[in-house]
Amino acid sequence: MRHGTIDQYASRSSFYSLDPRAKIVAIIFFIIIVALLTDLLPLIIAFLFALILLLVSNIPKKHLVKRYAIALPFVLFASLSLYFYKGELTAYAMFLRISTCVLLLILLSSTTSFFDLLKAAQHLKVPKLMITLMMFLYRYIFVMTEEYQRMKMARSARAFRGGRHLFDKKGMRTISSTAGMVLVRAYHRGVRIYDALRSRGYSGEIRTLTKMRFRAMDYAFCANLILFSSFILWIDWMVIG
Amino acid sequence: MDRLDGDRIKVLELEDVGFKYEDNTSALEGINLEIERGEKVAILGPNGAGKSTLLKLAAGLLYPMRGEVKLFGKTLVKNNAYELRKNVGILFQDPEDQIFMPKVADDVAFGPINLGYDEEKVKRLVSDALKDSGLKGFEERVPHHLSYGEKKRVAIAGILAMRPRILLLDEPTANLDPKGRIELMDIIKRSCETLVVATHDVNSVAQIAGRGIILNRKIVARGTMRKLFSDDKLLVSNNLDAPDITKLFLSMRESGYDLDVPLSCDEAQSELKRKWAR
Repeated sequence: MRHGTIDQYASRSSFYSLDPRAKIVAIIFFIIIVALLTDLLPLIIAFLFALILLLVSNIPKKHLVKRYAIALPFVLFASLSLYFYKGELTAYAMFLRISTCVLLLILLSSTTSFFDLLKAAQHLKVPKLMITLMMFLYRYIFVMTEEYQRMKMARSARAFRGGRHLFDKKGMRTISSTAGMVLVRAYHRGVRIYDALRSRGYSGEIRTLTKMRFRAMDYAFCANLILFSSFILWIDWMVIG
Repeated sequence: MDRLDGDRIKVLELEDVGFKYEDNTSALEGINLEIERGEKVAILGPNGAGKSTLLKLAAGLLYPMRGEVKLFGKTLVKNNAYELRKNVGILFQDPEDQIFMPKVADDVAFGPINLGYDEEKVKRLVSDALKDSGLKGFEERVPHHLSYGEKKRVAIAGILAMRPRILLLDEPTANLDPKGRIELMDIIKRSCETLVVATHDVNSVAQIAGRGIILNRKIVARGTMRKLFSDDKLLVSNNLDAPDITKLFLSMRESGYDLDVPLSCDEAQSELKRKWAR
């Protein structure tokens, strides 16, 4: 089973086969270091390094651009506000800092399945309750979206066309009651899911068979990233010093 | 049952069971029901008759407010509910509620892992359950992308993988297309020795259940499926209906034809052949 998954993605990205724990630890460490950097030179190096990692990972460019575009408004807002108050250099530094962090997170999330990320987080001692909640969110978000879509369709099938702008009071009331309905249904579904969980021997912990193995490659990946980010931090200190 | 009396093991017993909803309306009153190993029992009743509530009580998911629920001879209480539930499988109406894991194989493995089996055994149970439910090759599929009928089969595979001693089914064939219904009925027939099916689908249930009860908050009637389906007044007064083929033969009988009343097309066919042969 596990081999199937690896084969499926191996051609697409060299990072899929890494242990998700290695990726989380190394990339979070890198992100923390990047957040500590102050000078432009080490930031540029970090940015370029992140880009190289992305290139090596074979993530489709289109996907990368799309993901980055979502974060771009936030990056620009932060940098532009610094541009007006603190000057050009600080703004560039902020732009590079956030962009690098975003790129690294894209790398992490596009080369690891969500479920693997959760399991890795569980191994890294993130509270069980949070993991379980995230897992259910991941499983049921589509179900709930579909439920809302159905209600929306039912609404328009009965000639509803309000809610085009914020001041359309009547339309907004309809939309808010639909949203309320989604919540009520989600609550009832939650009760049913809990019944189903109990009837299958659930006792507070979600367990699976999949095992994670930390191999030489994972150690190498972690060591490389940690060493390299420490090196950048050292440059930063040297430049300031 | 032809077995010796000593072999008659009571799987489920309800003794004078009563249950009320949160708003204090009564859901079930004075329910007495015994189900032995190997029995296949239908629960028929109109909407809101308390069929689902009865199944949840039998599954140890709810506790009776009056009376007692016994599973495998033991009275259900909060302390032993977790242990007793391990041997009871329950299939809900909406399979979406029952499939929680992001992959089919992980979902089917959920129950066996909770039962504490080792990896080898879990894998074997999962692959057996998938095979029995006609889901070979679905291991890595994402539940969200399955059809309704496939989801229903994943849900039942997740239950069968726990090898329950009794299987409770709540409207198993609702919303399925004819092919899906036939497939599911085949799976159910092979699935478990002891079955309780709550349903409106009289045509399907007539094929599997040996006897049944008509529930309308109380047990209104009980008996063999033939007896229940032959009582037109009883069915109508409980918003129910007999299988089409049974209705046809009943009306033939009323117009003076001497025919036995069948429950399925197969039975009807042999009855007609028998008549014609004469």
